Amino acid sequence: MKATVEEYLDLSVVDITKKEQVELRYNEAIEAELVQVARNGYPYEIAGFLLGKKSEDADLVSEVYPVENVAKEQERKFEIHGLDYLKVEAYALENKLDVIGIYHSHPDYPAIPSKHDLEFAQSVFAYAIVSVDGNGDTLINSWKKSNKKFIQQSILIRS
Amino acid sequence: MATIIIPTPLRKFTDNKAKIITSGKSVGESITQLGELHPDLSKHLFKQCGTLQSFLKIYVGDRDIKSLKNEETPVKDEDVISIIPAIAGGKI
Repeated sequence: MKATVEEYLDLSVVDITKKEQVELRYNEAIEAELVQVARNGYPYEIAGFLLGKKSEDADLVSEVYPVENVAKEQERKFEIHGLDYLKVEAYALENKLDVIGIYHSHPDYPAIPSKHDLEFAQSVFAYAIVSVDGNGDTLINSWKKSNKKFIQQSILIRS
Repeated sequence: MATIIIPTPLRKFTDNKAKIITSGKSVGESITQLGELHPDLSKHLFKQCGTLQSFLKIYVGDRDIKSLKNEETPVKDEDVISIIPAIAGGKI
């Protein structure tokens, strides 16, 4: 790993001058689940969906929907199969939930988005990135795409 | 005729409608009609040359149309067409 987080920060990917106005909110159980799946998947990237309800000022996550990472190089990439995407959209519709966003892990890499993340990002989704290392230490940051770059989204964890 | 499921990222172009019924007899006709019904959606579905955007996949039921007859895949009333954006990323 590089010495500081700043060395990973690509200003063509992240706009550090802006902050997303809509907050990402979830409870401690959701946080624990995100941490656990990232640790269990280490040293490979894991991925899934965040489901819940969107409001004017917050993305309220009530459920984590893990899916298989089908990328060929899972130590540095994730890809979600079309059928899994289809299933999560159907599940959300049936249960009157919104697909709020996508989470994935960055093993031995900070919780900041890469060019590869930006390439596939949809502005409507929140992108929660779980940084995880070999000691099981984790950090979660969330991002949204706005004007062709990611901006950071505040996370509020409720008890 | 078929029902098209609109994925979350594209619902802002369909007045937030998740399901739209079209009268096309094939996937291509159905998707083209969807673009005509929602012109703002059209540019997100098709390239300027008229072919489908490469980051989108189309399924009929649980099958990718690439394993069927692509856009010429026939559809019946009970068929469900899903538009699926590529979901990928990673640290490098």
